[in-house]
Amino acid sequence: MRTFGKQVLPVLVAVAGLIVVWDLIVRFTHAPSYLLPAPAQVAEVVWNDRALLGKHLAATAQIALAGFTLGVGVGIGVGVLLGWSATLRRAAEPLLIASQAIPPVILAPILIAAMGFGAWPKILVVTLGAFFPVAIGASVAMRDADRSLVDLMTAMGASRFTVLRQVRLPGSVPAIIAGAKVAASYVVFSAIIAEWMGSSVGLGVYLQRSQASYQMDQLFAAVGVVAALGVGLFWLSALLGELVLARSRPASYRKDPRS
Amino acid sequence: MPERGALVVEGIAHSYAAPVLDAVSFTVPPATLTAVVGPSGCGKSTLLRVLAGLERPQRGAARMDGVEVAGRPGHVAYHPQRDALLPWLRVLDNATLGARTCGRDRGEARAEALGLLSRFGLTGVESSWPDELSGGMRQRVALMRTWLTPLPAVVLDEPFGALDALTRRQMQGWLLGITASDQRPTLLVTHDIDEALLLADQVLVFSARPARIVHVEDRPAPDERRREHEAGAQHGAVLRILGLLGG
Ligand SMILES: Nc1ncnc2c1ncn2[C@@H]1O[C@H](COP(=O)(O)OP(=O)(O)OP(=O)(O)O)[C@@H](O)[C@H]1O
Ligand SMILES: [Mg+2]
Repeated sequence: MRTFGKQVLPVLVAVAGLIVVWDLIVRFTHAPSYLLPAPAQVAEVVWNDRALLGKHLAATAQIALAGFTLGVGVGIGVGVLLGWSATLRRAAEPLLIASQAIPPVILAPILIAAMGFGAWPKILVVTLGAFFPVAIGASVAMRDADRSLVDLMTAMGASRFTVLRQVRLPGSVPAIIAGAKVAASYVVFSAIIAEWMGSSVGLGVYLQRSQASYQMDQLFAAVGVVAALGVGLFWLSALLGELVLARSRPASYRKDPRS
Repeated sequence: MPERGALVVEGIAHSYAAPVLDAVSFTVPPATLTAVVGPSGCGKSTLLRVLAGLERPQRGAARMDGVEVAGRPGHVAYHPQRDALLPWLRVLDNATLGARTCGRDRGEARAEALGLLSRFGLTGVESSWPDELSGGMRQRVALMRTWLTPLPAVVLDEPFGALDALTRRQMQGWLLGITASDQRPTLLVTHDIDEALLLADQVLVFSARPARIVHVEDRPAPDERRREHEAGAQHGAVLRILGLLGG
């Protein structure tokens, strides 16, 4: 009950406030519903279309989750490699940054042309966006590991690999989790773009169809579902992060009494 | 435990921006403890870092059974001035980190650490996290880690600095008793002249930076030192060393 009061209630109040403001804008500006539909109208569309929206939501959630998981895994791997070798980092960093300059709208059609309309090209688009913040966060934290701990292990005669496993990697856990949270806030966006560029199912497809047929209320309904999915994924990653942090006990880990 | 050799330090010199160590030479025989006292910032920790293999000296050598150790890690059990506990390992895993890193069996190391817990006043906290311990407890976990590291010489950088008077006395008593039976040569850096006189078979007095040895105080056998310490009869030596440090 206390977590409800402290964590869920403020969110509900904020969302309710937003809906009230939106409703007031519609009432006072008399905006036509093909430009700005009223909340009640959008809610009705969500309800009537629930089966269809649910199907698309499931498809998008799958792509986003798969891409997120793969992205975090690849990100940790790349981060460890770059933290391991300064030469490798200097060589690879420009390439990594370049990989982030490729807009998903360009990449998605190329991958779809190469790999067909299955889930993989879409998952890869999501992965490409998700691995980056994790890789950068991990590699910086690996490099800047606590000097006195590294010295301690070195004096014992530990190999570079042992130092990596005992000190650098555990010390990077908070940075990896922070990177994963940033990634989690991207993945729904990349999944939608990938679906938009070529797919038969997913919220991106639903959005594209609604837009093409000027169904503003459907578009709003889909945006609401997309937003909820994004927030849900972010919360999930934050929760997982908390669990990992509580287990791995980094130096900076203290339960914040305010949260 | 097999008989081990002496730690022989010959003319170690080292500089950072300015010279820090100026040709320091001494020998720590096996099963004895040598203490180093000197003004703050004179280079005591630097000497230990050189012996632990973390700094390569500009000149000089240090040998353990004929093996060069200066600037070469993996030969000396090193106790840093900061406790350097790994925050993500529980107390017992921290205490056995050196043993495990040097290839000892994990189960054996843990059994030995468990046996030492009460000596170190750490009974009941073996599965705590380091951030749940007091500064003094952390220091004792670190000391246990150093002791259980199976390397042929031990160098301790102010291991009792964070302890309260009572615990400090207990740990001093433990170190005094174990030095002879452990066989390893031990080098102890301390700010506390009384502590140096109680624990050490030989006390090296360092000058201000760049550090030279300005005096070697040879000490009687451990039992005699303990008696002196309890009777407060170390005054002469304390005044002599204080005079050297002040002048
Ligand atoms: N990494 C470093 N780079 C540059 N200068 C250093 C470095 N480490 C130590 N020094 C300098 O070397 C000198 C000796 O330092 P050291 O830590 O050995 O002193 P200390 O005798 O252990 O002092 P204390 O008793 O206060 O611990 C100091 O003047 C310090 O500023
Ligand atoms: Mg020091």
